[in-house]
Amino acid sequence: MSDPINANPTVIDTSQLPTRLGKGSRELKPCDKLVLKILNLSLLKPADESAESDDQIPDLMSDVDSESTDDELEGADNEGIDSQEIFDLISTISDPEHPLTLAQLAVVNLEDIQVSDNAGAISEVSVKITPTITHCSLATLIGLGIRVRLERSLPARFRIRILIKEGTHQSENQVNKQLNDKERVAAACENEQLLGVILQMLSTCK
Amino acid sequence: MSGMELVAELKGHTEPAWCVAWNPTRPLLASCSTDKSVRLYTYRFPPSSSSTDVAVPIFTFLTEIPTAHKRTIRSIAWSPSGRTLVTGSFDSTVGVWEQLDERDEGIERSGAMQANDEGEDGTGEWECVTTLEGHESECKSVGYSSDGALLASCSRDKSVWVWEVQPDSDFECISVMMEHTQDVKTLAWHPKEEVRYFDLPSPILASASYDASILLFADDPDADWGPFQKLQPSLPAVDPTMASGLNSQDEQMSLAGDEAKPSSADNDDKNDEFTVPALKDPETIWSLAFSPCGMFLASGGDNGGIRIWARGLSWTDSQSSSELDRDEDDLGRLASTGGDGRILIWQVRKTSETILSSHLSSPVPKIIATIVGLQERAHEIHDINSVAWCRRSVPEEEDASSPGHARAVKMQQRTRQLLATAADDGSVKVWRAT
Repeated sequence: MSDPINANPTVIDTSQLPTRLGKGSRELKPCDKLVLKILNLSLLKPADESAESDDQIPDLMSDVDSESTDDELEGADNEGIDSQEIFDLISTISDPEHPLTLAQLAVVNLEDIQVSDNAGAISEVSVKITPTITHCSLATLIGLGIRVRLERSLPARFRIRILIKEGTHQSENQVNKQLNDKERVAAACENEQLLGVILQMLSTCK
Repeated sequence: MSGMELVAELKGHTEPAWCVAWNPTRPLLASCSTDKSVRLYTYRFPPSSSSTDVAVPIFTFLTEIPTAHKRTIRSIAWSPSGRTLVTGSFDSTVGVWEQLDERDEGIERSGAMQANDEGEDGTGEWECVTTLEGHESECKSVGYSSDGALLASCSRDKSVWVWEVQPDSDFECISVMMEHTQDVKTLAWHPKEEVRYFDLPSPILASASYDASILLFADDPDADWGPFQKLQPSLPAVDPTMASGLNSQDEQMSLAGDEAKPSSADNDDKNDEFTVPALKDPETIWSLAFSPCGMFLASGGDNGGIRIWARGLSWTDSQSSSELDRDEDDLGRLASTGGDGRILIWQVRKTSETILSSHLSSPVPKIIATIVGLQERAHEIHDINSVAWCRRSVPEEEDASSPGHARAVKMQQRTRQLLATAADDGSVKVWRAT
């Protein structure tokens, strides 16, 4: 169990590139997704990857940082956060089992993200995830990874709801209840072993 | 509508604050946090306003107990004597804290800051006198019985433990109850000791869980501690088969009415925002609070609804019945808060109407809850995790004509409008209901 999880990061690192590409041109996102999938099915290109990550990563990070600061100060620079931005934050999270990202596996999809952003007031993000198989035992872990990623990236005004897409998991209600139990999530994030796995999943985001 | 004013904003925790607790006998307010510390604040009333009831106290940071907990401190509670503080942590342990006596230890008082009405303070160093181990996973809630003889703790390991408080900070576990099928979120002791359920008086303990049920436990003299009733929002009261001393349906708690619903007259413009959501799925019950008279129990659910449960009338002994009569219709105020950032204060009244339906063995009074206080964005955009009324006690044994008694009565009157909240941004706020 621990071997595959540890073995994943290197593979995921190479698959990081295409998703970053997607972030570069937001309007063309659905097309890009297809391109990414195709790219990932074929050979990966390390040279392109390094070029892209140099360009894209700093941009993304500064974006998120400045926005969160602005929002907390109720600043005028109020760009708002949309589902595309949420997608960009979570699409490059690695699947805990496969050397692929959640977007590549279609576990997260742009159309399953809802954002209601009330600048300066309590806002909401809801993400519905689609497990690859209906008995996927890692659905909770994936959901937790998405939650941790969003909690760390989004301004504090956002309430995050992670749900299993209807009819895609046999224990849908149980998983939903766990993923949205604040106390359990807080306790899980103090479990270093679990947090270690999540950080591995998130390591491809930065 | 506001109905409340901010008295103090107390910052200091570097991580979310989970729980606040007022000391019942001394001017101390405690808070706990994911940062693994307990912070203590003291308060005093400015001398100039000493004759009026609306005096607003001044709060001052007193001390921080770093604690040795390895994870979040989720819950704190004071003993009724006000001498002992307990901490329930995600590290699965319960810490018991007492203050070294500053007079004996010769710890100097540091200035006028700590001076207060009763000549007592919390500046003496607090030390861990014992650590209670036994839970297998996160401890979620801790609490003392009303006479301080028992301590209860609960955990994600599905268990509720009852500990007997013995001299010299010794605690003996007298019962481990495993009747919940999931995470036990919170506990509440019945406020009175004269509750008579079995042949002998027994304290009553309520627990609420992720499994969407509330269990009521008592000490059965013929057996052990055990549950005598299960309450499930949206479902008729269920009589579990565990307790041997039970006879019949005569002794049941019952759901009073549907839910607490605000009267529309008080908030015409916002009425729709306060409707209690329908219960679609079994929901986690996060909080419990007994009414001061002990006849009602309020529970807070995951979808924001509050439900008020009433004792079946035959459940009570004669003493409690007379208590009910004396209380007339005013059951007191209920404060609630949550992830929506609001604090609500409800005035809860009993009506002369009663409810009797097929699943109730005896009629229960119909309850009306009216919103008398509302604070939006009480901690700005942050989740509020805890709300607590200040409840100073008046020692019963003390001579009613003694100066100490008079002081305690006065302090109780002056502090009864105060409530404190703790939020995800680590801040604690004190409010006064107006």
